[in-house]
Amino acid sequence: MLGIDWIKILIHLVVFAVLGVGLYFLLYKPVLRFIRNRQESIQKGIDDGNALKEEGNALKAEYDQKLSAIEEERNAVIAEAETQKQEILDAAKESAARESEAIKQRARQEADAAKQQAVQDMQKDAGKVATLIAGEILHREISAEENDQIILDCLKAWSEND
Amino acid sequence: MTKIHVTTATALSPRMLDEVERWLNNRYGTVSVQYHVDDSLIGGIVIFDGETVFDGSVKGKLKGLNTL
Repeated sequence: MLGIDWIKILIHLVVFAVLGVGLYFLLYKPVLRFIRNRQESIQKGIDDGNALKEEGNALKAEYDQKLSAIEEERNAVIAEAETQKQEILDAAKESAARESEAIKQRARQEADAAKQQAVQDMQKDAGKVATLIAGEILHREISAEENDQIILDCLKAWSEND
Repeated sequence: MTKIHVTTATALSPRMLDEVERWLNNRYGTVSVQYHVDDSLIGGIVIFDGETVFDGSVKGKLKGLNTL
């Protein structure tokens, strides 16, 4: 024949098979297990990371919301303060205007009173001057007979009044 | 007896003295009269009986006009 030793081949095949089975159980399966464990570990790490990332996003969203609420509150407080400031300014302006008007009114009244008093004083002075002038004129003009008649008229009038 | 002060601008003539004394006697009875001359009265007569002043002077009338 060809010189092929079928027994040796068979032995080699058996050895190969045994080797194969041995390698399968001693090498392939542990390595496979190790790889699977590694894969699972890595996946767990990835999953944990994703979960943390989710949690972080949720916290960030929560803080953003809180910051937004604080910002709104701050703006509301500022707006309220601005409104109050304007109300106070308006009230002060109104009060100042009223006081100014009252002062003007008082000043007008005082000026009117002073003017009236000055007119009255002038009238009195004019009256006094007129009286003085009339007195001077009468002093020169009344005769003795006229003076006697004045006296008699007075005595008669006083008697009638009794 | 009532004391009367009579003031005139010029001294009274005897006729006027009688008239004044007659008026005073009618009003007060027996009186003691003091006569004064004050030319600032201008004319007329002022009689003061210790309580009341009877002002019939021209000066008094002018003052009355002044107070109107």
